[in-house]
Amino acid sequence: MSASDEISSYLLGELDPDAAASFERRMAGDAALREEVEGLRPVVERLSELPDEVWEGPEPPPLELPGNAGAAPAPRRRWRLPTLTLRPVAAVAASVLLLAVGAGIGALVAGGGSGDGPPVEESLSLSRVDDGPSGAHGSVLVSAGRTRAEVDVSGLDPSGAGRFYELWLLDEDGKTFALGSFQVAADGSADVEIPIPVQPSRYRYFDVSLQEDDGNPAHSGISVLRGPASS
Amino acid sequence: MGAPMAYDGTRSEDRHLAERLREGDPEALRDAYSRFGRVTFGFLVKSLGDRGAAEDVQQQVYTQIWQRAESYDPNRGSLLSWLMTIARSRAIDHRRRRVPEPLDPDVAATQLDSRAAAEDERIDRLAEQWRIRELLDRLPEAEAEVLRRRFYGELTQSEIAEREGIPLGTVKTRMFTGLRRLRELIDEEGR
Repeated sequence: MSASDEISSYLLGELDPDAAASFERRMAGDAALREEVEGLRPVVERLSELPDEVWEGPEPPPLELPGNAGAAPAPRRRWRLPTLTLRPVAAVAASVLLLAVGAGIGALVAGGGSGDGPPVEESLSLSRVDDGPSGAHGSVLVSAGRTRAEVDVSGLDPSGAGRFYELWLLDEDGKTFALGSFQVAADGSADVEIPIPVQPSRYRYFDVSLQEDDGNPAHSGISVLRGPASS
Repeated sequence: MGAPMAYDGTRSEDRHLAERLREGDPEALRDAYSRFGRVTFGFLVKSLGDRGAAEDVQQQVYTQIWQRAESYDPNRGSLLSWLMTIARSRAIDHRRRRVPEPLDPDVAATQLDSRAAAEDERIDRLAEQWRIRELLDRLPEAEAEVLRRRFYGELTQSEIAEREGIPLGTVKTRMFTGLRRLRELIDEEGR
């Protein structure tokens, strides 16, 4: 067996005990061999620690070119299967909202705005959905640049210990994007400013959920307020 | 043991790709996505735990690469390192947006600090794993395959030889050269 064959077999634990002991004795007296083995050992360790998903590697979504990156049309995004289902009452509300929002949403493109005239602030209403307490309502004021949202809610249950509220962007197929979390005070209200790192017009709704502080980053499924993501 | 194998100039490819990005060539962005898209996306899916969020953050990452290509300096690190740094930052930004504000600042501040530190450490570890994955993709296919079969398929070298129908000596040679080449790539990335 060549020295290189022996090195990899040793590092992979594939030498029998006698051969491994013999190899270690040789290594003790051969600095170059020792250096080679010690140089490769961390590589073997790193490969051994790679989880299966790293080897498998998920297929990435098609690239959407930024707005100023050429005229080629961006490919249609392939969204994940929905994990959040719109409940019946919410579905009715969604239908109404869809009618109200109309075809204008489709005309909005990533990169901002409807295209005609300078962008302006948008004030959007949030209405109670099935898990929200009666009397809950709110609004989202989206900045002209579509980069920040001022969320004003009232009539909600205080978040209390171990719970918090979260603002999401939500598609009708259940695709979500977490924007930020906030607490609701004892009077049931909150007024917070939250950055928006994606174009809200790419989604259908703003959604406010009640979350357990359990480390699970997914939407809890408990929506309390919802409204259109753009007018 | 032969002479160390020379690294074949991926850094110069980085320079060329970065130059095209700076010139505003959309094809350069597509090339970057083709080369690194799977790695950044895999990292984001794992670090965010939400494929939908990962898709959006992935888009943010490549938008940022497009917009800030001028800030990449090939002399300070590889394109992969720069890109993974951006992906890591966006992943941490996204995760932190979800940390609730403490109700009792005195009690919760310490908890939040330690939680954030553990989260950063987890994300750093994931970024390093996906960086290794990208380096594996640069190996010659025959070497990458024996490494995959050994470390993913958990086969011994003898089992690989048997299944592939190639001599055991060939498997051992590919294993050694693959490990060595990967070490050189890791060293190159670290410079």
